[in-house]
Order: sequence, then structure tokens, then C-alpha cells
Amino acid sequence: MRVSGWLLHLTNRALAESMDVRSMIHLARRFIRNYDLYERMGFSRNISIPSKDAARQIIQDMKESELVLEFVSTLIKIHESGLGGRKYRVPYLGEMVSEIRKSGLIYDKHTSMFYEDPRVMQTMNWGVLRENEEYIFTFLRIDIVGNSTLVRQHAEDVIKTTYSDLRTIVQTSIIKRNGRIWNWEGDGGLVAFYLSNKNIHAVISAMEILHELHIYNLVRSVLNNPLRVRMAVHSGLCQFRHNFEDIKSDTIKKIMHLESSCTKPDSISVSSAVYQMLNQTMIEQLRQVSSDTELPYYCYELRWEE
Amino acid sequence: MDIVLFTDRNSVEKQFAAVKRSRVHAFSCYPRSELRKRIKTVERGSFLYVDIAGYEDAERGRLLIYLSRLEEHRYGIIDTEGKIGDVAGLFHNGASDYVNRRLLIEGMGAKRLNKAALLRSIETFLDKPAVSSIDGRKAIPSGHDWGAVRSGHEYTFGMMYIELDRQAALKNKLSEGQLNSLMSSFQDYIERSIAQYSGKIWIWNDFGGLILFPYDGRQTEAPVICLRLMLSRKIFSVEETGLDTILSYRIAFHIGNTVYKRKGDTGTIVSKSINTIFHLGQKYLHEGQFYITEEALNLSHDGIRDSFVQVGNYEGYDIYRMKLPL
Repeated sequence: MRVSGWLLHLTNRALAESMDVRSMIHLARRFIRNYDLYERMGFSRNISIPSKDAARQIIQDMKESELVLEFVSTLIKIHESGLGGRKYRVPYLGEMVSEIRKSGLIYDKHTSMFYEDPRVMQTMNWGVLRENEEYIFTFLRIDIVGNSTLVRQHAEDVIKTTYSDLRTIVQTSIIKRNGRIWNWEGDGGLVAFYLSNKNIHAVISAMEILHELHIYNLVRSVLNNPLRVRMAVHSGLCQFRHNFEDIKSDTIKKIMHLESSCTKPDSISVSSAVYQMLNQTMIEQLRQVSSDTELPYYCYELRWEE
Repeated sequence: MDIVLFTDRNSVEKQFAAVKRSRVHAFSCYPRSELRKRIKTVERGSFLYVDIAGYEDAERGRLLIYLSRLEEHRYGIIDTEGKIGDVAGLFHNGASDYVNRRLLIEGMGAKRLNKAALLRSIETFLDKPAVSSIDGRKAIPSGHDWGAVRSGHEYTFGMMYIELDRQAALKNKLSEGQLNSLMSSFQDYIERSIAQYSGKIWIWNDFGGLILFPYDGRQTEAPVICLRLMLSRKIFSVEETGLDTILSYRIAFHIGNTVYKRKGDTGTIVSKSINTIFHLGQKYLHEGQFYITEEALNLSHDGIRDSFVQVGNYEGYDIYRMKLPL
């Protein structure tokens, strides 16, 4: 994101007017290890640095390290809950958020970070995640049951259209919950959720996909038999890479295993890690499935009265 | 019946000479490039014959999918090159006739056409357009959307009654502000859900109301929305109510006539169908259920029929109940 001069100006003033130089240095070291303001400014250590000058230097360094957004997010957190046990009143926060919004980014209170406004753009990293850095994601894995058989039994274009319809169903469901399709291979794919309520959003997206697919099979599918899928939801650490092929992640390996080895057709498997983060209403929709070798997982399926 | 042939070959058109001479059928022929354009203007229920000679595999596949999704016409394939490997599959996907080279040389006659037309009319919506009366009154289609609907005139509409269950418990449990917020979320949710099929909230009371869907004279897709609403109660409850329980609501669906008046100006309307949907919703419908009258179910998408079981007869109407997920 290009940082405007006005945003830098506001952040300078917010920092200078909200805390003393010592607190500023303390804060700057959260972002840049061993940050030495005196060295950066060429001041002797026995000279006191004016607040305005200190703030300007720190914000300039944040800009050079591409950390301005994170710095502003932290100022918001400090305004709300203090720093090192002390309360601070940080001015100009509204103006800073408005200025950042002009770049298509909005603030998410749950994660205390700025991310892209989905009405403006939808990129794989929500506009803010950094290459090679690790984050905690919730993943939704979806796979078509019996892909090879379907391909054998139907004309290529029937399959292409059907799979494209499925992708539309998935896309429609996940995008309203701020999920991103990271990988799609025709017969299924992987969706990532990162922002607020990511666990609930991933599970609800999966439930909605299952429901929509049921309706699709009733009124729209041109296949001889219903289109069926297996889905799994799991959460954990994963490195972010723009090129999906470059991602090496145990979390992704685990969700692939959960989907392919533990999940019945037309159902969703939810890992223990995700289950623990759900609210009671959601938990009541899931049925525990015992596993001899691993933690239990939980299942949601559409079962019908006779 | 209107027979519309799409071919670029005079030799194929010649084989329809008997159809051209027929007094029963109206025949027209167009180049294949005009297929998508012409389909929008030909009479509903027409029988289309499409010559697939010379198409590449991908192009032919796309065409067959397009034809299989036509809901208002029957179609037959003319395959003089024998490119269709799975002829039965063609019929599974809704075709009504398949004409290979030998059959074409024999010539297309009215007898064959009648047989082919009969095939699909047994099982599809094409039985439905002949509907001249609905719920005891002459069917007056209101159209695909609201463009042609005028206040003060009578039309046929799909009618959906929806109401939240356990109202007393909600009133006891929630503060006035929370209840208002819940009802506002519920109404928003309904409005978003019905928009796909041009539904409009017509009458809204504290806990629910009546929604009208335009009826095009052939079929109503609106019951699919009701199915979706029944499936998504959990999702709505978790995402939009902020409550710690699953919200329950009931839905009834009927089709019939009413004079249309603007929302808020409905106090003086007298309509047997409106009475029926309100009686059904308020007196017969059970908590958490979706009931539909046979009249409406017959005019719905055939694919949803197996999702219902008959539960009885109410005020002379056979009533069907949606089988619910456990």
C-alpha cells in the first residue's frame, strides 16, 4: 500500500501528542528489534530529543520498513487498552482510519489489523499479509466425490459446466464471509479464512455449500446422479506465499488427510482445533467422531427424515 | 405446435417437407448461428430441431448443455455424422428426439413429431402451461417480474406465508430493543432471500408476513426459496440473530389470484387465495414446518417433488409437507 503524506503527518502528530519519547522508543522496539533512536537521529545519548522530532524519525523508519499500517493498528490498540499498564489517549485515530480507507483498506477489530475492503478488492492475502510470514488461518477443503467416475461417465463439457457451477456455489458462500480461494483444481480446492470469526465463517460456509449443493442437485444438475462432495475444516499456522505451490504446511497436510481419510460423502469434518473455537449453537450442530489414533473430530451432514 | 429447425443445410430442411405441409404444425427454419437469438422469440413450448453436423466436440458439448437447460422448449438433435456416443444420455438430459442419418433420409413426418412431443410432455412443465385456472379462478399471469403489475388489477401470484415460531418465548426472553433488532434482521434476511425470484413482501406484521412472487403463467420457482430458507435456519440464527438458540419459523406456500394493491393499502382486499394462505399458515401449519398446496407444488420445479410428503387435506386443498433435515 502506498502511504500518503497526510497519513504520515497524522501519525507523526498522534505519536508526538500521545506519549513521551521513552514510550515511543519502547513502542518502536516492538516493530524493529534493538531500535536505537539516538543512533538513527545522530544525537548524543545525553541530549533529550524533542517529541516532534522523535515521532517524525520513528514514523519515517516505520515507513521505510513498510510497517506504517501495523503501527497505526497498534496505536488504536494502545488507545483502547493502554501500553505497559499505562493509559494513553491517542488523537487523530478517526482521521487516520479514514485516510487508510481511501486506499481500500478497512480496520478489523477482532484481529486489530487493516485489511482490504472486500467491496473494493479481493486478493489472496487480504491486501496485507506478508510473503513468507506465518499466520494462523482456518482452512476449508472441498473435494468432489468420485471425480474419475464422473469424468468417465459424462461428456467433457457437462463436467466442465458442473464443476464450474460448484465453484460458483463455493465462491458465493465464502466471499460473503471474507474467505479466499487459494487453490482450485477443477474437482475441488482449498479456501482460507483469516479475519474475524474465521472458524465460524469457515464452518458456516461449508454448511451453506452443502445446502446449496443439495438444492443444485434437485433443480439444476444435469448429471445422472447427484453431485457429492466431502469437506473438512481445520485451523493452524501456515506460511503465506502468493504462489500456492510454494506453501509447505502441516496444517494443510492435516486438512487434506481429514478430508480424504475421515470424511464421508455429503458431510463436513471439523477438526478439534476449530471445534474448540465455536460457540455453543454451532457445537450443537456437530456430532463427535471418535478416532483411535488422533484427536476426535466432528461431523456435520444433511440427514433426512424418512 | 411450432416446429423450429436450426440448420445451415438445405438438404436437412428438405427432409421436413411433410412438416411444412402439415396444417397442424407451424414450421420455420433458421441458420444455426441464430439459435440463441431466436430461442428468445419463438413461442414457448415449441419443438426445436438442431442440426449438430460439423461442430467440434467442445462446441457440440456446450450446445447440448445449453439445450438441456431450456425450460420452455422441447428439442431434438439431428446427428447425421453419428457424433453422439451416448444417445440415452441425451434423453436423460431432456432431449425429446434423436434423428440420425437414416431417419432423416426417411423424412420427418407429423406422426414422429407427435410421438416425440408426447414423450416430454408427460413429465415436464410443458403440462403446466395449459393451466387456465388456478385455485378456482382464471389464471392471470403477472409476468416474470413486477414490470407489468398494476395496482387495482387482479393477477395470479405465488403466495408465501412466513412467521417466526415461539413468539411468546421470544417476547419473554428478549428486551424490546433486542426483539426489534431480531425482527429487523429477520425481515432483511427474508428480503434478501426472496429477491432472486422477484419476491416482494406485501403484508408484514410483527413476526412475519405474506410475500408475493410474480407468476409467468407456466411455473413458479419460488418454493425453491422456501426450501433454502428451511435449510438455512441454523446459518441465519448463528450469523445474524446474535441469539444462543436456533430460531424456528414456519412457511406455507400457495398459488392463486388476488387484486394487487400497494403495500399498506391491502386492507380491503377480498381474495379466496389470500384467505387460504393465511388460514393455512395460521391455523394448520405446524411449528418449524414448510407446507405447500398441491396446486403450487404441481406448478413448481419437478425436481423438488420428492422433498415433500402429503400430510392431509385442509379446506379442500391437498397439503404437502417438506421432509426436514434431522
